[in-house]
Order: sequence, then structure tokens, then C-alpha cells
Amino acid sequence: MPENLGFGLGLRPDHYEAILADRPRIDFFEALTENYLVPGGKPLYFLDRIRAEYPLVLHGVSLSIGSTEPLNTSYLEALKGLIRRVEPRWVSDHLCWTGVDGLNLHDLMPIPHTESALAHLVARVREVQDRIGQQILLENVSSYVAYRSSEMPEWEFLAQLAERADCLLLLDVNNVYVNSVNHHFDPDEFIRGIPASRVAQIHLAGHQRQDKYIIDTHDAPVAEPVWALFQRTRARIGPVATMIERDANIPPLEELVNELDLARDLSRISVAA
Amino acid sequence: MHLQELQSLFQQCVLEGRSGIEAELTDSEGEDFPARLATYTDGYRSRLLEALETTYPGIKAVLGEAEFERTLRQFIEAVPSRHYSIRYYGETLGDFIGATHSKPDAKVLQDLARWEWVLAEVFDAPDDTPMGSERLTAVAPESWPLVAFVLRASVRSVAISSNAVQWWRWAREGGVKPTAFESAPAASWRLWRQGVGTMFRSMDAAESAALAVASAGGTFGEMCEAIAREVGAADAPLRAASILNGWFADEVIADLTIAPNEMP
Repeated sequence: MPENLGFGLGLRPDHYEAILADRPRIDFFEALTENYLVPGGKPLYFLDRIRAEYPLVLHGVSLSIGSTEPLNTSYLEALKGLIRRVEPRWVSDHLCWTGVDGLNLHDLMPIPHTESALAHLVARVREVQDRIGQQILLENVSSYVAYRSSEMPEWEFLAQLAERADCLLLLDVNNVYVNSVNHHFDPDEFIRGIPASRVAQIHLAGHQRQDKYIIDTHDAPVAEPVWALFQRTRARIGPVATMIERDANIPPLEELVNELDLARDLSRISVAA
Repeated sequence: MHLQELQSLFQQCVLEGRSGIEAELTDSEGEDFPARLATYTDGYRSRLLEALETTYPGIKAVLGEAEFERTLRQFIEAVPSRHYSIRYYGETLGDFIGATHSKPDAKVLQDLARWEWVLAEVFDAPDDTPMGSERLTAVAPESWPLVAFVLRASVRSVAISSNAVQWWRWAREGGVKPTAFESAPAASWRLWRQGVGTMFRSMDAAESAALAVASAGGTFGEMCEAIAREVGAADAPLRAASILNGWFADEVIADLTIAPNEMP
């Protein structure tokens, strides 16, 4: 199991200068893999410098582990090159598919929770882990529709995948909450159904509430019910690297550092799971 | 339904608005189902639009927000994304605008799109180290015609035959808006990176010809011949020296090689 890196933030270009100038109290950064799968220039310049100062993990959106297309070997080679360059503490991506027929939707498309999808995923996760020479973390994604063909709840699907593929989990607590509203389940049942020993990282983020469902937008502070679920999650799975994602309406770094302090404070308060 | 078929059906719904996936989804009769599905269909277009806005801020400023969005939405429907990284989406926008807009603004927009795409290429081109001019002192006089200058990986040459760069500057810096899409004499521009900064400079015909030779791996001798065709044989040596000085000052040269003498 990877080490507990503490409390981190998603690395965003808006904050490059402030991070290097102020060296804020952030335990680690999570860099979006695809932003750095470029030949050179400013993105890698800053990544190298920030990586020299802070522990770094990589978080991708393009692995498309659930797609029925063959694994994209050029992506995996580029990922391996980036891993060699920045030696991240770990690499994560999403439990989703992003496209078929050579096209890319640039979205985290949901996977039906079926035995056949599970078998498909297990083989692919093992192949990726073999190719990059390390365990990967897969994140539960937010979804707005569900498949009639699903045969098991999302948490059981995740738990089985982690065990059978011998991979780790990036538990996005916001996504658990979002899906609990969108698909009408008890978020605590999800948390209880996840093997704690497989969770290597936690994500927190903001969302936008619609009338009867929630969109995972990452454009606002973490919502109150998500903080509460986070506390119960921590009580269940113990200390684990935790970070806040913000991808739109990005505030000054100090504001996110303060929000991260709230995560630290809440982690110290024991709550029954 | 097999996973492959399911994914194709869902993708067709997102890309083409084709129906069929609804039958595979729960609560498809629900009041908010269309909005939930639109999270995927609209989200796809929003993400590509956002990526194009990042790459083409000048096109957006010139077209205005409404026309920019209308044009880009047409482009997005016509051109799906094929690369895993959204950074590489939209290279053919200039050609699309050229084909869908009328003259004379089509030419400016086409040039401007090419300009902004190349700027993006330069921004994250491979890192390498500039060669210092002191290495020239080691070149024997008789070897000079056989020297080939290796340009740094970020160096690009762009030919612009409109006042697109004037429009681009206006989009960035404001000031007096260019009043018309006037044609301008064709100009070549050199774009490159110094450190992490993206740079550009206009080139006269002689430098443009010299850069084309160097880009193709040609020798200094061939560069001088190309320069002579533009400025005449008498002025060529001085002009070649001046061009080289500029390249060293701008740090556009990565290395030099000396080709072996050909056998007689």
C-alpha cells in the first residue's frame, strides 16, 4: 500500500508561480497526466520544479480502461515516459471509458456493473499494471445515467475489480455523494462496501445541485454533505492521502490551502462510520 | 447487449444525437432524463469548445463571442476528436473557416488560425539547448560551405499573406481595431521558444529562404545560394552573416554538423 502523503491539492497552471514563490503548506500535489504528456516547454518546466519541492502523484483521464477498444499503446508509452521523468508516488485514472472507434469523447463515460464488464476490466487493469510496472489507482466516477444491465451495486463492482485485478482505489467521496443522489442509494453503504485496505487516496471536490440530481463540476468549494461523508469515510478507512480538486472558477491558492486545512481539521474529529 | 455495442450506441448518441441508448438506461422515462443525458451530449461540445477557445483566443476576438461559438459548434459537429489529449484537437479549424467563410475575412481567419496553432506547437515543443556562437571558431574556413545548422525543435516558419498578425496583436493588446480585412504583402514569420517564452519575428525573403534551407538540413553553402537568389551574389555574404548573427542572438540554433567532402 502506498504511503499516506497527507493533504494535497490538484496542481493547476494558475497556481504555478504562487507555489514556487510561497511554498504553501501543502503535503503533495496531484498533476493531471495529460497536461504534461507534451514534448516540453512551460508545463514540464513547472512540473519539474514543483516536483523537486513536493511529493507528486499523477492523475489521468485518458486511460479509457473500460473501453472495448484495444489499450492505447502510444498513450501508455507516453505515460511511461512521464513516469520515468517525474517518478510519481503513484499513478491513477478513472474507472470509465472515453471513446470507441478511434474517437475520443473526453468524458468519463460510465461502465455497466456487470460480470462481463468486470472480466474485461480485470484483464485490462492487469495489462496496464504489467506495462507500467506498478499498481494503478482507479477512481469511482460521477454518473448521470445508469444501465439496466447492471448486475451489482457500484461499490461491489469496485471492490471486486480491486481484488481481482489487484489494483488500488482512489475513492472520490464527492462522486460517491453525487451518485448516491443521482442513483438513489445510501452513500454510507457505498463506503462500507469498499475494501479499506485498497483505498490509497481520497478526492474531494465541489458540485452543482440541479433540481433532482447533481452535476460533478469541480467549480465550487466542497459541499457540506460531502464533508460529512468524508468524515465518516475517514473513520471507516483511516488516514489516507486526501486532496481537493478544483478545475473551474479556480480561486487564489490561499483559498484552497484554507479549504485543505478544513479537511485536516475534520480528519482529526472522530465520527462513527 | 455486448459492452462494445453498448459503448458504440452511447457514443453515437453523444456525437450524432442518435437514439437507441435510452432503452439500455434506467429511468429513461423520468422527467429529468433528457437533462441527465445532456450532461454527456452537451458536455462533449462544451469541452471541445473550451479547448478551442484556449488555442484560438485571437479567432474568438475577431469573430466575436456569438459568431465564434456558432462557427466552432459547426466545426465540432464536422470534426470529432481523435487524440487522447484534448490539447491536440482543432488543428484543421483554419481550413474549416477558410471553406465556410467568405472572402476577404476568410483569408485573415485562416492565417490567424494557423498562427495560433503554431504558437501552441511552439509553446510545448521539445526542450533543447541553444548552441553558442563560440563553436563557430572551431570551424575551419574550408569547411564553412559544408556546415549544416541544426535548428532548435521549437523553431517554426509561418507564411502569412494577410494582416492576421495585426489582428492577433489587437486581440491580445487592444488598441485601434484593424478597420478592414485588408490583404497585406505575404510575410514570413519565425516562431521559436527562448526558455519557456514563445517568441516571433518577421523575416525578409532572404532569411525566410535561409531558414527553409536550414530546416531541410541544407548546408551553409546552400543557404548562401538561397540568400543570393534574393539579394544578389554581391550582398549575399554580408546578409548571410547578419542572418546567422540574428539566429545566435535569438538562440534558434541547437547544433552544427559538417558534411563530409564529396568524392570528386
